[in-house]
Amino acid sequence: MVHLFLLFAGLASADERTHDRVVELLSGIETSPTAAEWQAVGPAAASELLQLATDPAALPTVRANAIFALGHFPTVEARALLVATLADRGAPSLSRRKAALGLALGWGAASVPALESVFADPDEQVRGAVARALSNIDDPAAQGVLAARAKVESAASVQKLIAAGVKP
Amino acid sequence: MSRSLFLVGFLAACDMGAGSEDVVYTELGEFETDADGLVSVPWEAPEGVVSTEVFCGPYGYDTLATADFVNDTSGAAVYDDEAPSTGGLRAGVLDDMLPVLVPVSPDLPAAAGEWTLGLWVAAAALPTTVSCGMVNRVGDVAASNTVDVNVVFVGVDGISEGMNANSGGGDANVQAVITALGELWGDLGLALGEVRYSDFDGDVGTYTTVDGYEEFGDLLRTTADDVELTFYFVQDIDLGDGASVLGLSGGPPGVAGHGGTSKSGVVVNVANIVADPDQVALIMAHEGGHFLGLFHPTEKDLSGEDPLGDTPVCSDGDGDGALTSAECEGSGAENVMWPTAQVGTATGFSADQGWVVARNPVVRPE
Repeated sequence: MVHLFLLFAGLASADERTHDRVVELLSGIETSPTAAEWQAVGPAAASELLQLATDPAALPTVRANAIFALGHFPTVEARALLVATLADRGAPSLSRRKAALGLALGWGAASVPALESVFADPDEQVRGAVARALSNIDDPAAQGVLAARAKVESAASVQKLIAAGVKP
Repeated sequence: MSRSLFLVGFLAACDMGAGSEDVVYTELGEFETDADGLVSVPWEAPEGVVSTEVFCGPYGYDTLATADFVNDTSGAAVYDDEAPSTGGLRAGVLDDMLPVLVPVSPDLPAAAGEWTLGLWVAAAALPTTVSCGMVNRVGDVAASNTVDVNVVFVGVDGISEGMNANSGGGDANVQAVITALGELWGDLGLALGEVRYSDFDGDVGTYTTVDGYEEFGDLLRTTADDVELTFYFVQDIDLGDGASVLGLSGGPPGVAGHGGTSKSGVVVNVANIVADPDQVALIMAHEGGHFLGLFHPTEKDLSGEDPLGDTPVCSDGDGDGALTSAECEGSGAENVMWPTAQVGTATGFSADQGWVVARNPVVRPE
């Protein structure tokens, strides 16, 4: 019984350490975590990130950074959350932007349809993030979506991002 | 290694305006590096100098530069790039413009006479030419000091309706931030003087979210030429990898008392201002501290320490090559200049940090 207690206490302590480590990585003042730092935390980081990404008590930047960081752990659950967040016009703009960038990071060309579906979003900042996300995907489909949007995009800031992402 | 000096011009000095007669900006002219990217830049600190800063650029965002050496008025080397974390001076490895500020430690106070910056520019095409300038502050130093602050709103009224110049001073979230900033900086002996609010009159669509160092630098270039500390409030800062960071300062240290450069201010991510204004205040206190000449007590990647004798140094207890806040409890994590946002934990500054800030060109005795 004592051994069982110690085992659970140890697991709880490990969970707490993972949680603290993840929150710290998401809270850098001037730096953001690298892929290597996420790998060092290990697969337990993915469930912490999923929890933080949907935690209404978490700070907006912590939530948004958790959403983006899920791109480093491309699971089915993570993809579903990012696609839903990106499509949700009621979600914070920051979270939607990070979802776009996280999708490109984690799923590459497979995320092009989800990104394309919000490229006419009324939020200029979201469209800008979609342009950046598509620019990060080395795939002709992404280039095609960027080129098509360039013909109708009205915001100068988004046009600039599209132009930077279209490869000659 | 040869270090060639090509002083092309020595142009006008200009007073910084009413209330700032002790702070003078002087254009030093253009300097051409040698084929290795090196050039010596002499600059003169006047009698009664409190602080002196030299800065050179712009050399673009694709190029980095640093100080190869800095010599004091006796000709002695007080900074050596071979040992950048030793002695009483620090210099960054920075894109576009390199500022060097004296003092950033009580171990190396400013002194009248000729100083020399050995600038090394790692440009793709060499030799290259940079423009240099200097700012000198003369006059008195006090234990209690004041700094004027300009808050520039860059498309952030979508986060909190009142975050614009019309109601900036009256917005509850902004007021909470300014009050908390005053409390944090009170520990430095630094009080807020005039706090101005203005709306960004440039390309709001682009700079609402700052994407990468080039946009960061271009935003800071819009800073006015006043003796104050300018904070740009934006919706997000993304250094290009997709994740958000919470704040960035020109430099460190920033180019103090001279606008129009890529190191002339501070950018603050205010996405958390409604949920936690104290965190935004902490970011302003931290980034403003960088601008004023403060560094992280210990870098989390163990790449260096600040030059101060009274800030704790954190060691890598678990030997994993990186520091965490938990690992540095009691040895730096309580300092506002600790590199992770820890509201309620990071609340203080050291006496040496107050000494440095009291001498910055944009700070004046109360």
